Amino acid sequence: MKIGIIPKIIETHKNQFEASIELKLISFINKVFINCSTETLISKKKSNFDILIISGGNDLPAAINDRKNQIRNNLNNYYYNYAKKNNIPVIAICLGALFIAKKMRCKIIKKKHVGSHSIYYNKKKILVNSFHNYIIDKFNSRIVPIAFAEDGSLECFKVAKNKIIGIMWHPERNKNIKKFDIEILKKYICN
Amino acid sequence: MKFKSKAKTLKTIKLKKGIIPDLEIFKCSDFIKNKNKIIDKIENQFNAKIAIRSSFIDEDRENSSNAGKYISFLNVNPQNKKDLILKIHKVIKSKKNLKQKDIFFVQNMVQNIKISGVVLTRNLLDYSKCININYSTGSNSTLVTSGSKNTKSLIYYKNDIFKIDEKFEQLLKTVNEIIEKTNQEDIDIEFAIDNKKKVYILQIRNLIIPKGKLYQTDNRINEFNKLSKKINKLKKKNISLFGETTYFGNMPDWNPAEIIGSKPKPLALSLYQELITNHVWSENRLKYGYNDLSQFHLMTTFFGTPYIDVRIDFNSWLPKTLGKKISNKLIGYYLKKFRLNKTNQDKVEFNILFTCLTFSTKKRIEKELKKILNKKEKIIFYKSLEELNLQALKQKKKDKELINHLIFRQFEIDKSDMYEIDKIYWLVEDCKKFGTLPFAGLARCGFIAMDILKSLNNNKMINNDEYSSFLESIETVTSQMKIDLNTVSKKRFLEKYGHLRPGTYEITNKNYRENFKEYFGNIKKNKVNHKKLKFSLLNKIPSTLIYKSKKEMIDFIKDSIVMREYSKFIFTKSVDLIFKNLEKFGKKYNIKTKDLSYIKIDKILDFYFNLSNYKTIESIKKHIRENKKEYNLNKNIALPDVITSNKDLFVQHRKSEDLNFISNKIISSKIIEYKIEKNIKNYEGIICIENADPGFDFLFSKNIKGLITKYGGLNSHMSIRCAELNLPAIIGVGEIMYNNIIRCNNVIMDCTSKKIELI
Repeated sequence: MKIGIIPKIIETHKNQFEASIELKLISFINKVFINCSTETLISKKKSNFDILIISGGNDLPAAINDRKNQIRNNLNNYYYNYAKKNNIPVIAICLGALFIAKKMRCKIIKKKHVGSHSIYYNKKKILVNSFHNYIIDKFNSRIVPIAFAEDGSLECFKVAKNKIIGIMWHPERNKNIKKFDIEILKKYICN
Repeated sequence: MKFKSKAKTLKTIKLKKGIIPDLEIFKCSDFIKNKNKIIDKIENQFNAKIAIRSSFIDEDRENSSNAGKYISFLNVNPQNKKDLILKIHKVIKSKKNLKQKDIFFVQNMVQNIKISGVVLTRNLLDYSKCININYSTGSNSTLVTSGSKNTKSLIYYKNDIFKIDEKFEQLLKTVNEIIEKTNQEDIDIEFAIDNKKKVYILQIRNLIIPKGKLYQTDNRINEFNKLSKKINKLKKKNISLFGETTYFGNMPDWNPAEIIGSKPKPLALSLYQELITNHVWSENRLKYGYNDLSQFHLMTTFFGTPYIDVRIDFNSWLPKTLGKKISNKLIGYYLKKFRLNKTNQDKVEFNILFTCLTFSTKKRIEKELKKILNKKEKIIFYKSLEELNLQALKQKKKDKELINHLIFRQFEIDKSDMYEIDKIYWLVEDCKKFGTLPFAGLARCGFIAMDILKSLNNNKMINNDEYSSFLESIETVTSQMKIDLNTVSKKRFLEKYGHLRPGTYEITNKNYRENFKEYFGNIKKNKVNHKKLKFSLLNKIPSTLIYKSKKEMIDFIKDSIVMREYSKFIFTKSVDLIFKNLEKFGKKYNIKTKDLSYIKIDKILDFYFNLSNYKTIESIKKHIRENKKEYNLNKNIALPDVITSNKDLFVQHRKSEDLNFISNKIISSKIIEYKIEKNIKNYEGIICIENADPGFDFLFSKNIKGLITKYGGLNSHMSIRCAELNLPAIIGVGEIMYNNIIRCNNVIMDCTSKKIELI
């Protein structure tokens, strides 16, 4: 199995950009998807991955419209369309989730979620970590909600017609993999 | 005849049925000029003890009564000249600007009084015509007028079937004679009855009725006859229920009078029925191991006043496993006990029923069911109660999960782009399945917890202080609210608590978010040590009942109390969201919030499924008009709190209640009556409130000294909250007492010895 990852874009010097993937993410993927290989998707070209991960990092151009965010958004757009067309499951984390939510015309508003907070998922109240400045405030019938934060913002969802899930927290940043993270991936991606 | 001053009225009127004690009238000005002449006259004319009363010009006019404003003296010895002069002086001085026409009078005191009090010819709750007697037994004739605790009242509606109590027959005749002779229907009479059943009339005044309070058909005969028929039908034997008859109360079980009030608007009433008393209540009971009553609604309404059908309620508390014979015996016993002491209506689960196992159960069964069940049956019954505690322990975990799911569903609906009506439909359905149903379960656990605690207290295994300390040590959502108010930002506070509103089911009451300023406006943030005291009961518990260990029992008690509050806190958010969407809908179609409160929720739910040829909005507006009309008719019909038979409608007896005191403190403070529409600036006193649900929790952040409610029981939200905060409170004082209290300025509440003194 091959996993394609859209990386975070960082500006190293003026007008010089690099792709970056946290080691934690790679390690997380290796633990969850046994015997898989990963590919970092840094330019728009066709590839044959089985699952697409839109990783965290960067901001939506709608929030901060700079060059690195534009590059990132282009990559997101390209691979999102590619995955959708070819029925490839997508796991969108943090910025990725916001990106998908925006695509689905959800209402996104500015509000900080930093550090650990509770979410309501599957009849349980669970602690997760979050590092984002925007939240999904309202959604529509294209979205199936999976988890909400205590303030009612959407923390995890599935796109109704596709195998695409958005997760606002960072499952990869935990020391040990959480049971419910695996549960969500299993239920909505691997099924 | 037109009423003159009360003295002259008494002097002129001649009665055959009653006696007016001898009296003499004097001008105040004459007394000031030449007091000796008057004193001599009094000395000569009166031998026995006398009363000295004022009768000032402004005291008893036809459109305003200053009754009770001026001083009077009783039991004065006419031969004690010095005392006589002093007292007449005081009576005269109690009026500032003495007029030429002002008079006072001296009256013979009635001896050997057995009953004394006041008769009004209207029921002050709805101003319907009746004979309304407030009385006390004993020789002190001022008890009723001074608003003391031990007064009773009897409201009698003239009818062909039921007679007034024999002891008041002569009084009734006298009142009728007075009405006839004075040609005045609205009067206020002070009376005394002596040990030879003679009726004495001490004062006659006009009864002042506020403008607009007169109800067109102001006698209740038609309504009461109609209701009589209904009650007779409901009281008949029902093949699906144990018990030969039934009674009705507005406070047993789900306490409608406390939660939605005795005249709820159609929306509040229908929501409460839909969310709880129609089916959810029985579904919960079945799940927790009680009898299956799923075909019955718990609540019936008479002219808009909600009542719990007591037989249905009692049947629902029977353990499912119990056989027919024992069940029948128990219900017979429960119903009899209810009839014999109606003031138990707000504590049936504690004082009448057996609904779970506690440290008192064995003793109670032996004592109370001695003649009801035989030895074998008692053992079977005890075992079945054990099962109930086990079942509650098992179900609690599941219900906790459901509540978490409700939070998820509330967000899912609220944040989606559904149409308002659809949102309301799903909010209601979810609230039942994941909200009120598990809440009913967790409240049951909370009840069992409280009952076990109380049994520890009653059996002297823990004392009152330990009982209070334990409750104080529990951290619930409302104790957290008080902390949050001082520590988090307003935005964050409202995010969490904004949905609460005083009177949860009444859409016109503003929630915390809409009215933060009024509810919490003047609060200064102060850093208080919020650490809860730790208090352990572990060493105090004698055995584990059905629990695996003492720890398991204590955990159950604590968690149940916490979860009961928490689940209520969560499900009321659904009610708030229902209102939010209804208001949105109303705004779209120009329907005011005030009018929305007349919609029955069924009407809205109906739109979700059924498409009609009628125009939706017009049909809603018509529905509002009709309900408003009916509500305005109903609102004027005051009914008794407990109805055991149709006689209770025509002859309504009321007693001061047994009071539910909370905390172990003694306080004295001023009385502040709280009403939603009233803007209160200073809350530092004893707050009096008719009925208080969790939405009134903001009161606890206002530095109130104590709380008194008209409705409520030991198991009410407010009782538990006050116990938790160790705030002195009397919950559910009943109508007579409540009215007496709010007329006073100050009270002393001694919660340890369970006494209240009005000042």
